[in-house]
Amino acid sequence: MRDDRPAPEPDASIAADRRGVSTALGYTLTLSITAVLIAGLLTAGGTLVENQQRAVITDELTVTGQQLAGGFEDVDRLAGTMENGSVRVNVWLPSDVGGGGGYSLEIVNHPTPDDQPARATIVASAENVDVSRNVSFRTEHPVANRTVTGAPVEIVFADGDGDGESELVVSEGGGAP
Amino acid sequence: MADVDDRAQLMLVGALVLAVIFVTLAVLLNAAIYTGNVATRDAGPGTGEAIEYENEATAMARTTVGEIDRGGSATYAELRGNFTDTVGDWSRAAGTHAVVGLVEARLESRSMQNGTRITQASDRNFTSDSGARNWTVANDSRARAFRLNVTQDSLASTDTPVADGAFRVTFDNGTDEWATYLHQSGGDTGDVAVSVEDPDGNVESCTVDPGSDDRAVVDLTAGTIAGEDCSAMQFFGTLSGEYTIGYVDTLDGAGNEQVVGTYAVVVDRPLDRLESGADGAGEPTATRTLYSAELRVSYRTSNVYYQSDFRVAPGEPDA
Repeated sequence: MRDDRPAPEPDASIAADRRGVSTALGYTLTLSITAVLIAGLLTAGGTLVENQQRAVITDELTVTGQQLAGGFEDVDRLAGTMENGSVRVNVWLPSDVGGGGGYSLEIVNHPTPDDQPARATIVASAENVDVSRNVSFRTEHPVANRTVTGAPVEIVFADGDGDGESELVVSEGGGAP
Repeated sequence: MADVDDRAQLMLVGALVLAVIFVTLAVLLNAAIYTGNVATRDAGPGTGEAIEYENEATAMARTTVGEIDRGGSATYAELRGNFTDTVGDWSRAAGTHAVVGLVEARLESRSMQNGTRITQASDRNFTSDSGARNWTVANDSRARAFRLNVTQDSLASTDTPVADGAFRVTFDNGTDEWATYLHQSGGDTGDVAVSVEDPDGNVESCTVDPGSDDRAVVDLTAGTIAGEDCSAMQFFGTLSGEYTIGYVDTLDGAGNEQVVGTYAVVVDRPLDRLESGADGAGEPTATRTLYSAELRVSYRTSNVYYQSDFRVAPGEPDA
């Protein structure tokens, strides 16, 4: 038998009563440490997901831009061999990036001297996250300035701005040619 | 003390949120893998096949136009019919293969231009059918596939072909005249030489060693001698409009041959409207043929639509 702490006097203050303290203390400590741990895990996990999402969207925008550039180059090649005919090509592009966010594609033509091939840049920007990627390419025929939302597109070789010369024009909705 | 059922809620909520994070991560990683997969796929909707199809069609049409008059004396209607039939047969045969790849490919002939082939198939001097030493090969026309195959020994040996009056082919468009002299260079080697006199009287020459068979092929439309490029002969590509082709001084003043060999040329003037020293019988001969043809190719898959016209005239300077 060991000696328990003696019971306080009946009129003593409650702060002086030390009995039954360790259970409550232990409970509180456990709760707070668990809370800190879980909060840390959630924060770290959230940041991880956010970084991953950014990285994945960057990748997807790059690949999408390159695929569109590939489509432009294909049409350019066909337009080069075409005489008095027509060229129409559908390019399949994903309708969302990073697991559910939309994106837009802006095609910007850079004027070049007449004796040089045309140059254009595709600016692919995600809607939900502040990420955008540029893909530049060169073609024999100029590219028309356009902005389309990310989805399958159609590229035609036609006079898009009424100046009498045909350009590579992209438009939304690659239906059956 | 709380009810037993309400305990460990912090852990439960934390675990649930972590689970959601892990699922999101899995979805993102999946997207990343899929993107990697897409990036390594063959880019583009496959337009190479359309160009290949057109190239094959062009090759077929060139061969067909080049060979359409083999064996003879067909009328223009027969030649045109043969060409259209050949194009149709080819289109059906190639279309059968294309259908396997879910492609609809078609080739059709749009128009043809009548022409005349003037040939001398066996070695002979270059006089006309009636033996004239200066004569008109074809009047007011354009030529393709103009090749002369000459023997070295027959050519006049001179370094001044213009002054000496060597054999020449003339191209006269009414205002300007170009003359292409064929001769041997005057030195010891006696290489086959081509000298071109432009309308202003400037003369430029190319020479080539004919090799062991002592013959040289002079391709006037391609601008080559024995397969070698000759810059002096590039004028042919710049000739515009119609011109009259003539042979001059095939025999020298004393009646000696200045050139012996074979030749062939196709001009864009129909036989019945052609003035030529060649006719239907004997050497040289003039026969009906097609000068050129225009065709339309169309190629359609689920993602590509391509339609184009093209013209074939084998042996034309710029074709």
